[in-house]
Parts: sequence; C-alpha cells; structure tokens
Amino acid sequence: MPARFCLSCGGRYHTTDANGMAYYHTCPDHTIVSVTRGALKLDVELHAVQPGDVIVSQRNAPRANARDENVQADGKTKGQPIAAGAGVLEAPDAATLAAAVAASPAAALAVTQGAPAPAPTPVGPIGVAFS
Amino acid sequence: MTDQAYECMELADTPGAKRARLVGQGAYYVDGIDHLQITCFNTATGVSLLCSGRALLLDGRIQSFSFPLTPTTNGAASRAFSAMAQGWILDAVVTVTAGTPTNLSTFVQIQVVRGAQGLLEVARLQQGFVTANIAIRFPGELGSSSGSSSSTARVIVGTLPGAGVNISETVPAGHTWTICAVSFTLTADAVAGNREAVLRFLDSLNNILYEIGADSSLTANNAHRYSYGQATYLKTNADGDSTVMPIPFIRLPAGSKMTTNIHSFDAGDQLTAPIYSVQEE
Repeated sequence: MPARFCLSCGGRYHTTDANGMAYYHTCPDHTIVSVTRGALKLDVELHAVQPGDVIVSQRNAPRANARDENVQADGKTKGQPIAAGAGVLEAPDAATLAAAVAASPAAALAVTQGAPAPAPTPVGPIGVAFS
Repeated sequence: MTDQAYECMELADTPGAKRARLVGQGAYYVDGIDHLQITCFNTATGVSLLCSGRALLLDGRIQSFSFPLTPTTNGAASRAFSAMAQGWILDAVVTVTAGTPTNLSTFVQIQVVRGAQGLLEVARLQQGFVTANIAIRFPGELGSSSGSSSSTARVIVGTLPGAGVNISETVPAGHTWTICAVSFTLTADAVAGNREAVLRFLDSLNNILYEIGADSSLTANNAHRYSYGQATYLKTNADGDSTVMPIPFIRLPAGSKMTTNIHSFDAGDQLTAPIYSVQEE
C-alpha cells in the first residue's frame, strides 16, 4: 500500500485505506507558544522553545506552506490538491518509505521542525500585555 | 372509420413511424457527430468500468458497442467516449468490471456530447453511483442492490504526525462524516509538565463545535490511550493507561476538521496510532 511522508508537517500516512478508499492528508496546525525569555516575551513554535524559557500560554495557528490533498471541487482544476505544500516523499510501502525518509535532508528538517520556521517574533517587553 | 383512426393509419405507414415502433419511447436520437461519453468521479482503487449497449442505425441494423474506462482515484473527472453513427441509442449500461467500489466511491454519468470528448454535453442520459452489484443503465431507473444505502462505513488510519505535532483530519470534499469513534495514543517525553489531551471538532472556519478533555493529565515519560465514542461516558481504566470519553452524534460537512489540542504539549511528545470510525455520506 503506497505510503507518503509529508515534507510540510512530517506526517506519515497511506494514500488508501484498508478498504481501498482514498485518504486525503491535511497538515495540522502549528502549536505556537508564548514564552518569556530573559527580558523579552516571544511567540515561538513549539520546537523552538529553549531551556530556560518560561511558557506563558500556547495556541494553535495555521501552518505556513501546509499541504491539503483534498481535491478542488470547483470543476476547473482537474483534481489537483488544494495545496501542495512542501511536497511529499512516496514509496510503495512503509518500510521503503522509512529508508527514503532517513536519507532525505528535507525529511529530517520536517521531522525536527516541520516546514521552514520563521524566526521567533518578539511581541513586547515584559509587562506589556500580548495575546 | 373515424378521422382519428385514419390519421393513425397514415402515420403507421411512414418510414419514421416504422422506425419509431422499432425504437420505442426510451431511445435517444444521435445525428452522426455526437459521441456517447461516460464520465466517472472515483476514489476507490483498482476500479474498471465498461459501457456497453446497442444502437439502431438508419438502415435498420442493430449495432452493439462497448468501451472501457479505468478512472483515476483522486475524485477528478475521468472520461471515455465512443463515436455513434446516425441513429438511435437503444440502451446503454455501465458496469464495474474490476475493483470493489463502495456505495459512494464511484459516480458515473452517461452523456451525449457533441463534437469532441467533453466539449459540449447535449444530454445526460443517466447518472448515479455504481458498485460491483449496481449498474447504471439507460433507459430506466437507477439499479439497486440488497443492502445498499446512501452512506458507507469507513475505518480510517489517520496521519501519524511528527513529534510535537497535533493530529488533524479534514472531511473530504463532497462528503459528510458522522463521527462514530476516535482513538489515539499520547506519549509524553521526559520534560516535566501535565499534558491534557483535548479532542476538538471544528467547522471549516475553525469555529469549535465541540471539544472534550480527559479527566486526568499525563506526566513526563508516560503514555496514555484516549478513545472517544458515542453512547459512552468518561472513564479511565483501573490501570490508568487508557480513557474513554463521550462524543455527541455529530455530523461534519466537507472542510470540517477533527483535531487534537494537547495542553502543555512538548516538542518531544508524540501522538501515535490515530484511527477513526466514520459514516461517510
């Protein structure tokens, strides 16, 4: 059964279910964490939290360059995915896919941090309210 | 003899009326530049279709035709067509010759198009879902099969997310899901913290329709199985390694989402073995 690795979110999945029906992958949201780091308050992605950061809150936000394999239903785009994202690695089975993922720098990036992450966003000095 | 009967006799003697008696009421006239086309929207693997039937030509001969179609599996339109000589399409049937499409996976249209494939549809003779036991045919009503219904049960193995990434599934275009059961495992890494697993259902604009959290938190270096179903109540088993939780009878239209939202999520935490039972319409 064909297996895929999503280079946007690091997810692994099969393109068909055991009953033969198609499965459409969509990337989940990022988890964004608000932290205090020294004198700064920052919004960072979950994987970018550093030792010493004090987590204030967390929320989910749409992932940049997310993949959505659902088919456009507008009748014009001939079955193209809604969003290709960063692409996928595909193999005929899960074992072959695992080897391909292990050999792929892009996959390694996706595993550790998903799609290329923006730099932490300073949202204000301590004492200033932020969402 | 009445005027009306005389008129009928006159009509009966015309070549057109003789052909009409051969053709019957359900036939569709084509003028030699029309094509018979089948269009299929399919999401099942390994499906092959065959369109076959008969036509009455102008010289009175009956000609049979058949042509295959192996549709793509991405739900997009796949087409096959056959040129038709001038005359009448007497009947046509589309049958599944390979694969086992489910009740809602393979939708077929029988069309008459003019000029070239898909260029201009001039008639829609029939349309409907086909399975190994259900054909669509022209003329006539849709076929039926014992045990057929307008929805199909699916067990979906979801995407295994990366570490520190939530589970998220989107209802496919053109379908509605009734969520019957959801289950996944959360494994916490060594970073201290009290994780709380929350399951959410959202509409396509990310408005939360329903969410439910567990009654206990998960600490570092532990794993817990979370299961959700209708007609159950919140309960953690005696070993403390799995919890069942109730979800309502909830129907999600296309584009709606089902996601996890792990409170105090750490980058090394891992969600695994996501699996769902849904009724797809």
